Amino acid sequence: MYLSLNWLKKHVDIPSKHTPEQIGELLTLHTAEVEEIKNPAQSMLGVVVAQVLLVEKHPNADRLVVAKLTDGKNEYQVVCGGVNVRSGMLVPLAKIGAQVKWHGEEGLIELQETEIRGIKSSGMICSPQEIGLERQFMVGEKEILDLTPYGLKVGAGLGEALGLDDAVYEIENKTITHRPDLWSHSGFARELAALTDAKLKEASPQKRLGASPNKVSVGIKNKQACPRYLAVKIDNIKVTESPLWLKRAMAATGNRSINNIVDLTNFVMLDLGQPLHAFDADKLADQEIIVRQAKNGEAMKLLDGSEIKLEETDLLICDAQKPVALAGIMGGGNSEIDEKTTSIILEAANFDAQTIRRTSLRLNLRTEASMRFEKGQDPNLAEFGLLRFLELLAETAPGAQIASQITDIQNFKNHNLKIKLDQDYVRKKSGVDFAPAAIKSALKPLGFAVSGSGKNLIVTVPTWRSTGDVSIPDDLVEELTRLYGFNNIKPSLPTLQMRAPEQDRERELIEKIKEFLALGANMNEVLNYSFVGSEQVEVAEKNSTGFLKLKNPVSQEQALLRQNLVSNLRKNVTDNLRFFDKFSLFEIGSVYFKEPGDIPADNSGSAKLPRQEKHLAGVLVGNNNNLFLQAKGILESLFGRLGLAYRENLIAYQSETHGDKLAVFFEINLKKLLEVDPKTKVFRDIPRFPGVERDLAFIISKEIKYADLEQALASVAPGLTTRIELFDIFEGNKIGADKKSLAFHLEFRSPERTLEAKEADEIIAKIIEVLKQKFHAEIRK
Amino acid sequence: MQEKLNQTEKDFKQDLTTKSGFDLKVKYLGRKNGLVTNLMKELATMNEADKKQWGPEINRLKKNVEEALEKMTTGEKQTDGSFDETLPGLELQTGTLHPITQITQELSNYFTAMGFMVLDGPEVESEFFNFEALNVPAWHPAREMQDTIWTEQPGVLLRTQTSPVQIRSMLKYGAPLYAVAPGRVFRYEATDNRHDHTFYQLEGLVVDENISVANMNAFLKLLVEKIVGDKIKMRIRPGYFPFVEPGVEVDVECAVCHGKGCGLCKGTGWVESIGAGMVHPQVLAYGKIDPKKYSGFAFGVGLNRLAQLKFGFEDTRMIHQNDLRFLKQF
Ligand SMILES: [Zn+2]
Repeated sequence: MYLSLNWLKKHVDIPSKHTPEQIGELLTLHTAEVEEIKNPAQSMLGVVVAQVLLVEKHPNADRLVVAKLTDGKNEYQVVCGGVNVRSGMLVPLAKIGAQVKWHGEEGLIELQETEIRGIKSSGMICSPQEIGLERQFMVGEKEILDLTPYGLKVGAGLGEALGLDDAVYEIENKTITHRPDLWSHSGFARELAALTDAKLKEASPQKRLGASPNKVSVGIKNKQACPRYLAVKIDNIKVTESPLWLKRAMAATGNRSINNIVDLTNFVMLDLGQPLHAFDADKLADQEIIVRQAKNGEAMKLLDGSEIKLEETDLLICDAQKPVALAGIMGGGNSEIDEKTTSIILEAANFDAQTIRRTSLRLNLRTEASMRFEKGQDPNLAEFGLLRFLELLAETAPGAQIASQITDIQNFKNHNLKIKLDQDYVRKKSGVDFAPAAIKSALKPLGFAVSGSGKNLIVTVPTWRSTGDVSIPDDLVEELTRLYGFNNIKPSLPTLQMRAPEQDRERELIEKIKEFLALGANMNEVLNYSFVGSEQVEVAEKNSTGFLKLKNPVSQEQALLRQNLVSNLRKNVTDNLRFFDKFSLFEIGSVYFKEPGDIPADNSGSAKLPRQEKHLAGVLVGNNNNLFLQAKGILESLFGRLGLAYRENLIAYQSETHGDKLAVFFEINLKKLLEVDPKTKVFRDIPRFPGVERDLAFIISKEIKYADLEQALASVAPGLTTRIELFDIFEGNKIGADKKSLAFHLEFRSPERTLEAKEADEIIAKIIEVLKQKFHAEIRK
Repeated sequence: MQEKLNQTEKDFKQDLTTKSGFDLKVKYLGRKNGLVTNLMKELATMNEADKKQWGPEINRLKKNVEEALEKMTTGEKQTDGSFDETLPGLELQTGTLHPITQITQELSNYFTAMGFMVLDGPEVESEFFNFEALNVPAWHPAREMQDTIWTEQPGVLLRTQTSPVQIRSMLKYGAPLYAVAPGRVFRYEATDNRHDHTFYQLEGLVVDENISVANMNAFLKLLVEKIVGDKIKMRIRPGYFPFVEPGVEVDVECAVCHGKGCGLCKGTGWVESIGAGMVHPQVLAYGKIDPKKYSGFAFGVGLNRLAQLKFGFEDTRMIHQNDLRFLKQF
């Protein structure tokens, strides 16, 4: 939202010692964030009001003229393509060096002295587009901006002459989500009055009575959705361009100028926060208003041309026959005012915030009106807005006549919200010792009345703050602390009580795993999105548990929640193979399932969230045929590091070729890992007697599993065999396609005495015997 | 053979002073045509007697060559133990932790040292914990501030903030409570170099007797000092979050322009860094904590921004691209 400082000053006498920047900072530090401060006149530097003295045909171009102009001091010769340039006219003249928008170009261009078809041209007579005013000043094709009607001073800078020398604050809307009263200049003026200790000039438009005793008939079918509705008929309307002051207001706040009536409704909204709507009275059947809920499937066309389909929860403004507006959001095309309009019915209403918000969200229709109503506007403001409109109408549409009494239907009560406030509570909550007098004087400028004393203060909340914004003592603490300034509250650290640390085994496990894999196993950690593509739906259907699907995925490739980490790691492998031959990655992250798990979904605890678990996955990529054994080695060490026994059945291995490279993946459910009993490390005596080492290599069938061999090797001399280490595996045509060669270091040791070499040789001989018998091993020498 | 051996040894000694370690390695130990390699190949084809005679000689030569080369690559002079300290160190291969993990661990450790618990919460969350219990009913305008990714199950969504952990931890542990919860959050929005639909936050919660705005200020100051150091100016201003009252936002002075105004800070000289506030009594009540007895404050900080500041990368999307050329730098 944009705020004009010139406009704010109509409501409050801000002491002149405050610069526009300081005012912006005050707002940011105490009220709402100012994102940017701009002076609209800044974009018109070097553009002045000039009078055309003489217009002649360009000797060498049919569509151009040569104009002589004056800025009161100097004369300028300008070649111009504007079809409406006449002598005597006041026009915006961009002098050499001015920054203007150039047709079809981005950004601003600096004007240069130039020659157009042999005639020197020192400047440019501007169209509204060229000086950024196309939304406020409408002209025909190839026309320049005719400033004659506005009586501007020749030679004045255009920005100053139009009254655009201003400071315009862009307010971050997010920071006023909870403040319905701040969606207007008067609301911010009240804040500034409090912040600068200045006087607020409260407007009090007078009630104007219509000549006719007639009233606009208004019927409200849904009272809850429409707490207030005022309507008045106005005749003798002449729809014209807006006067300059209204155009200026629209320009400063970034709004389009449409006509004197629509601009005036917008002006009142920007001024007071009350949205208004003007219907063409002659387009309303029976000139009657009915506020009702829509019927399911009912349709209407809005004034932006869009067709909408309605639901029961939407609120409509109708005439005797048809919907004429979507309440609080946008008018209908069928009742819009246009240049033929002579009589209007003005609506100033209050609508239920939730109703407006629901419809606006569903239809994705965000308008200035809906943004205000959905915050919960004060119903009292409706009357105020209507009277302000009538007051200003005389200036914008002279001759207009109030042609009815004001209809005012009220379905609300001013309940004068009172909050009990305890001085001690304020101190405890804020950390600042506010005296009752300080509380009173701080809150008063914002419209709060404070009575009582000490622990028993009674704060009466003004109606514009009591629609939901302020309701409990904490809301008043907010007012007091922000006015005081959060930066001015002296920091003091809380005293922390000592407690036994809560054990989070999963978190500890994850930290250890990450540390080991990155620093011990030289792997690189990755983080993938939680989503997988819909191309995996096929897999999903085969999968009994089923994927948890997203209703509004960011893309179709990310429509499902992942059930494993490997699917996304696979993509990381492909991506990184473009730059690396050999690498290893790991990830720890959540996987998600359709069926309920054990995490409660609400505070009753009966409903459960979809099951979600943390997994660990990794991949080793390279040429090496031993990648699988490397992966397994890493995991064996990891288990050891975590104090757990290695459990093959917890690990899902898979290997794939990626081009000429191999990738070996593994994935582990950390929840299952946490269930593994810890293997406490128990001290074993350091061997007192030397062992005897022997190497043994043999060829056997490929089919034979290592585990069986190991068992066989160990079985011969169970008490004496202290090490069985596989140090080489070899396969190849040299030894036969269905064979493999294995080589072991074996160590034999007795805990009681020095083992003799002879004894070891005997054991080896027995082992060879067993290997030959059981596995038809061929011993290599 | 003896001649060959002598010649090779002589050549090597000469080359040692003129050739690079790499060239020497190729010339003498190269797998295909290395001079020593060829000798080894020859040895393999010899009869037993020749093997006995030449084997030790060839192996000795090989050992000498290998040792000399190794000394060369480690930059060590053979005799006096002095070395050129300007030589690059030998690269030690280690893996890396993701920048987000590093930031998360750094902050978690900081809080643990202060006596906080570090908690985790579900990423697939319920509407109740993500919105309702945080004072954001269905029609509330604040929902627009957080475009939500919904699952196909009614009322089940991807959490838009780490704040639901506030309620979960209150329900689980009660008061007093000192906890932080780092984690992954999701928003329905288009990605560009400043936005990603998946990002990371760290939520903090303190609930105890007599916790005040002044306590919150002190804490925010500590947090800012931890994040950007104590030389950087900060300011606390009002901010709006439905689950706190009052709510504040903490700005730190822009590190690029030092407060003068630039593109990064949109000319204001300040950069938003932390959202915080006093826990709303209604939220305490949702967490089954008595708001008459206890009060507290909560804060949230975006970890992507912190990681970007710490490691100096501008494009937030790098975080999920998993490009080793990026990851290996940290
Ligand atoms: Zn900056």
